[in-house]
Amino acid sequence: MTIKSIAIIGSSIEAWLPAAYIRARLPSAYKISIIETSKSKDENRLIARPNSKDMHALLQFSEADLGQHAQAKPLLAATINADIALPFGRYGLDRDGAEFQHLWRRIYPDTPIQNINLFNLSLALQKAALFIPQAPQGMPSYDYGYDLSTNGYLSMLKQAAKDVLNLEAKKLEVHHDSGKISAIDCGDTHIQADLYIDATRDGHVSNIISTLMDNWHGNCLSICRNFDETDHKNGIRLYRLQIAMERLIALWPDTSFAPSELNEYNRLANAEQEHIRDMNALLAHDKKEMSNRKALQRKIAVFESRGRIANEDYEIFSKSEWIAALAAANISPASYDRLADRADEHDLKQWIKQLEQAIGQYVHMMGQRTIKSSPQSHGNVTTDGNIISNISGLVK
Amino acid sequence: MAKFENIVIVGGGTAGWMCAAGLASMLGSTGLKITLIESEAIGIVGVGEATLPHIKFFNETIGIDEAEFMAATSATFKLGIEFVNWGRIGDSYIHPFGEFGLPNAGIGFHHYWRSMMDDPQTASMDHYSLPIMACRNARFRPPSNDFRSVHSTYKYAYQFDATKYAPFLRKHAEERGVTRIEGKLVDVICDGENGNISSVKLENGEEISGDLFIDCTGFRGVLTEGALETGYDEWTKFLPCDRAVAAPCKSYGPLLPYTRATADKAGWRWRIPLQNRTGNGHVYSSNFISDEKARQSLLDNLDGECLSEPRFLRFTTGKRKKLWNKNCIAIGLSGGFLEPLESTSIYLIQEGITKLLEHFPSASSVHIDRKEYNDLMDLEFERVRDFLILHYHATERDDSEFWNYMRTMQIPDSLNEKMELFRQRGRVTAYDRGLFLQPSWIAVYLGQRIIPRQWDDRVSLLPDSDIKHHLNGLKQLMQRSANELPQHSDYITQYCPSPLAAEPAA
Repeated sequence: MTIKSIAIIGSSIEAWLPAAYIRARLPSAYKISIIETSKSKDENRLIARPNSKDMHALLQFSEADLGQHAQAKPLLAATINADIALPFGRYGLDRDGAEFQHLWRRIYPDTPIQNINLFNLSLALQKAALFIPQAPQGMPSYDYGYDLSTNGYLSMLKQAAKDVLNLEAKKLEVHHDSGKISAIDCGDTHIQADLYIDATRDGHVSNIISTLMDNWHGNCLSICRNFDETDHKNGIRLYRLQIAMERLIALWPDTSFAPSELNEYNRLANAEQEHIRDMNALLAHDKKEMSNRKALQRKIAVFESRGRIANEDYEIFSKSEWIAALAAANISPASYDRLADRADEHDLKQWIKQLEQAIGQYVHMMGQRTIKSSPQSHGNVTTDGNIISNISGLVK
Repeated sequence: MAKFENIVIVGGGTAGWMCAAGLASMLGSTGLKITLIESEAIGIVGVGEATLPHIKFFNETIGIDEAEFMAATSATFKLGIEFVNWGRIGDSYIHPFGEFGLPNAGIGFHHYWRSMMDDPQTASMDHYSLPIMACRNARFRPPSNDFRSVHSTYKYAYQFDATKYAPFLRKHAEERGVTRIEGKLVDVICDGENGNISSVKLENGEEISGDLFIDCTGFRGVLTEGALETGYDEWTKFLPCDRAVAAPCKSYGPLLPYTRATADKAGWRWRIPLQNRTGNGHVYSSNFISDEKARQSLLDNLDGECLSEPRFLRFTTGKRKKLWNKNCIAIGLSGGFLEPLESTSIYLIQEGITKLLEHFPSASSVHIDRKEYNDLMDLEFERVRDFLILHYHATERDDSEFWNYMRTMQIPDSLNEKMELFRQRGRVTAYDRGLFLQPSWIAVYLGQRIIPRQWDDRVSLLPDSDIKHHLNGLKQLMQRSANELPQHSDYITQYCPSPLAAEPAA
């Protein structure tokens, strides 16, 4: 039978994003209830990775709306701490079939790996507090995400989640039978739904019906119970919710909750979780955790030997983000790919120097041309039509 | 520490010369010395007359001119593979190198189609795919680069004379510095300490040393198995066909831009149209049919006059336990064979070369390069294997012992899960990597009667009239668009005529 009612249990964007997303993707025939649990202290700011643009298009959040209501600032990299930023753009340019890090390593075999950051335009612009929406031709390309006000963004989600029954959880009593939730007693009201989305960070509801670590059991889907504090910084908090909703819609079930569909959801979600844990262990430089993680060990070994980024299925973080994180952990390639030997050494050296200069000059020039904007301004247009903004503003 | 500057390729068939041309084009300028040893006394299998779209990228990357290559190998274009008699006798479907329908609200086209499948106005899936309609009408033109156009919804590959591809590549490779040595290999000399191959000895006494050896000696795997005893993982339990008999015949009928695979009593027969002839073969399991009966079935089903005595091949489906063992990489038939049902042989050669280029070893990193190469190639083989098994297992045929075995055999869990997911609601297991992506799986599932019990709920919420309108519009669009394409034979005649091309077909 078709699912007709959905109950979401949780608070903040974890609860409201699913409501807005489902409402945008599925017709209003679905009844959506949110059982709001007590609000724990939330971070003021929320990082949205570049792929959030797809979701914002779906939710009809324009950049102007994000600027106005969520005080959005464009973001070219996710800042983890004073030493680490994960760029949303490429390192250098590829040439002769070789990726840039190999070309660079050939010319600078003994230079500290962190110096490769000079060749990342998105990092250079972010460091100079500049934002240009698109890299000029012939420069390393990048994308951008947003730094958002959590409260402002939450208000936008609430507005997008039309016709949602919002209930306060004075208590949370989960009634279940044979691995499925039959009802939730939240104090004043008894909620019955076809599908329950557990949006609590500790997996409070799903843990009641199963002790397994999978995210989807019976009629209960847990979407954020593996939350880690680093998720705030690298944009995974929002990313995880967005992908959980994309995956849910792609595998939208009926009330039979076919095991094959739940298994596929869990397979993908588990793989995603492993990638997140790999990155978090590396960013924290948690040596014990790092040594226990096979895929991360593979990434480190392959990078250490030849500067390659070993890809897995369903990667979340880009090659550039991995290079930045590995470099920050001072993991340095001993060598480079043979394909980097194709170019003439002298030419290659000149080319790399020119690229470094071009990036430096471009950032300097853009800094000079930026008209300082007032805090209320969301961007300025230069005389040649390029939209340039101080990082505190937002491009319209 | 060992350096990797001196590369010796043993064997000069399709795999050998693809390796030589690929390595010389991409790494020749880095000082790599590439030697290829082959013997004219040893015939080549000439694997892979039919290819997948990836070969276009390979040829482009190494700087091959398409029209020149097609003329030299009597090649035709290929938009897909037709499977006849696989689900049931009388069935026919095409696995296209392209999409079904057009993207709509993020819901796969086959969900719309499934919801209306029983409506008399709904046509078979074929009618909603431009490459299939082009196949059915023997038409071809390269796809458009405009992603808004329906003409951008397909890719293409080639059908060519594999015995001519190797000589074509040889010229290309030799121009880029590859040294060819004529000679028959009589011995492989290994280093007593590390077990690596240090040199190979030829019949005339010449000894050729190398840092890295590429075994392209065919099924025997003279280096990897003969010398290094690498071992072989047999997959005959899932893919029991172990022989093929092949013979060309005169062309007959329109020049089709697709390969045909017709299921037979104990295997299947291929038909590959080239400019000057049609390639034919019968792949079968010797446990279920004799060589003579297999040969007769091939001859009985030729389009026209047989042009040469049928020749037999024996093989064992599977792969080497390590495709890269010591300092020897097995590429082509020496590495493994998954039978030619989905034209994957040349693709797997290409992947072997691409991954070697990406993981070309250095003295300090060879153990990691080797491990990465092996892990990635194992995944390629395994994912292709599952897709091939699907063709045999998803059948209702019960007219022979062979099909009864295939239909009822135990299949890998990974495939079972994929099939069940599709049966439930038409979902296709998601991958980032692997050769065959969503449209390929959908084509074979539906073509072989794995019909989803249900479909995406969002489609159910649409009025029937809207879905019918959508389907009808697409059907008309595909037919109209196919009719806009030139005849495949006309396009070939204008673009890349082979000097060997036959007179216009009857």
